[in-house]
Amino acid sequence: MTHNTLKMAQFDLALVKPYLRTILFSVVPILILLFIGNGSLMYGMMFSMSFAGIAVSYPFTISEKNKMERLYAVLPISKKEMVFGRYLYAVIIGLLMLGVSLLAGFFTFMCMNIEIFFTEIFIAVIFGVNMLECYILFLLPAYYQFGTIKGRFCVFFPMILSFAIWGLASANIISIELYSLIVLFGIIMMIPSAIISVRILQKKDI
Amino acid sequence: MTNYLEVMHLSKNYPNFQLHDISFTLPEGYIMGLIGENGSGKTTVIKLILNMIHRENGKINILGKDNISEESAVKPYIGVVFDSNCFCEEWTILQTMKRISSFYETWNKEKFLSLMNRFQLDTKKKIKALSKGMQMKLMLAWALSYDAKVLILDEPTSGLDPVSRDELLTILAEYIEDGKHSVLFSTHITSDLERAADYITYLHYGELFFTGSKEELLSMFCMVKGGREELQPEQQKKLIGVRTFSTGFEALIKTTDRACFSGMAIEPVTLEDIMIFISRKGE
Repeated sequence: MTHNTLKMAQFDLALVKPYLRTILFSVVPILILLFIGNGSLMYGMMFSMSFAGIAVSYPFTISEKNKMERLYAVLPISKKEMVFGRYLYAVIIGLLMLGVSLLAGFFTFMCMNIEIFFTEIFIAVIFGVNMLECYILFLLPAYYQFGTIKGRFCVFFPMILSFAIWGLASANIISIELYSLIVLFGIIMMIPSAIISVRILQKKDI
Repeated sequence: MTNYLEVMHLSKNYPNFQLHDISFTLPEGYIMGLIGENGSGKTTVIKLILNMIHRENGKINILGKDNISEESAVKPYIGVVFDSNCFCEEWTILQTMKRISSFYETWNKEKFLSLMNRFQLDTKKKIKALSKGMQMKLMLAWALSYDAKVLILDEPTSGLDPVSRDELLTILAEYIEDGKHSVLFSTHITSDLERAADYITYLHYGELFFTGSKEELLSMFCMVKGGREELQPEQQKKLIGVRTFSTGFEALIKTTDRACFSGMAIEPVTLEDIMIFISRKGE
């Protein structure tokens, strides 16, 4: 199964490759401006992870547009592998955006001679991962259930959730340790989320 | 003789349509035509074979394996040509096949390239730039390049010119030549099946009307022609769908009833005649 899951993730990455270049070219300058304007990693991270949320939907949109569900029905892979591959794709895209955001931040702050502390990097990364996992946990099953147009309306829920958790952490209502544990729990929860998506796809009439 | 495809008591319910108790078998080395009017359930059957939709009842075996519980084991042996493109339109042929071929252990790159050559398809061309006929050929090349044992064609010839249709039929004939490949060919263009099919499965409003050899179906019916005044009331009861003209009529009858129409012109039927007149009977 692992082999086909990887192939499926590669397939999805190839689908979004032309769009990815455009995203990166448009995101990086805005990120740099945000870092210059705010002097903090957080705002850039929020922005780039919001884009990651959009990029997660791309394989769904492209597949729907090209009626590729028929191709997926013929390919020698199970529905489970198909779904797991898409989750893997979403993780890769999210980590890519997170990495781009951090690199752009380091580069900007280095040019501006601003020192970045480890705690700030850690919180930004924790926030970025939390935002990504919220998207993956809730958006992917929504896309499988409702399709991309209706599923897109669910984008606000993971966004609000990740901001709420971050708000509680920044107001010291929850400790950084607890925040990290919540993020870790979110990563583990991706497995039940993927299983729910598999069930949805298995029951769905294409 | 091994059955490559076995469809047993298949049922599917939609709010406005029911596919009811469909059973047929496709033996190794033959072409089966899947015919029926629009909305008769042909595409539903194909979707059920490909596990794209849920069945209410029944079982489907492909090469002796269940199409759901053993989906991954079965899929490498199925090739499908849809009525329209199913690839990413922004990709070139080469990009498409590079991505897709990685899923197949039996992918034969040389065979694919030789088919591209034969079909005169430029592999650098984007999918969206291909005509309908070219897209059909690409899907066919895809299936042939991993040596699919069962080829399913879902109305691939609709909208194709006669030359492309003839080319497809020639390829299908070559495909089954070794006796180790089978084809399920869904189409409205029954003349293609008159030429290529060995077996026919005829769906009528979601029900199985006939499944068996093409010759058997053609021998079940005949066409009677005559003047309107010649037709007696007892004879009228035996007609299956009638077409009347100012000068006379033509009607489908069961071959077993032909003795009742002595003196009238009786002719053999085509698959199209059967479909049209059976449909008229329904109306």
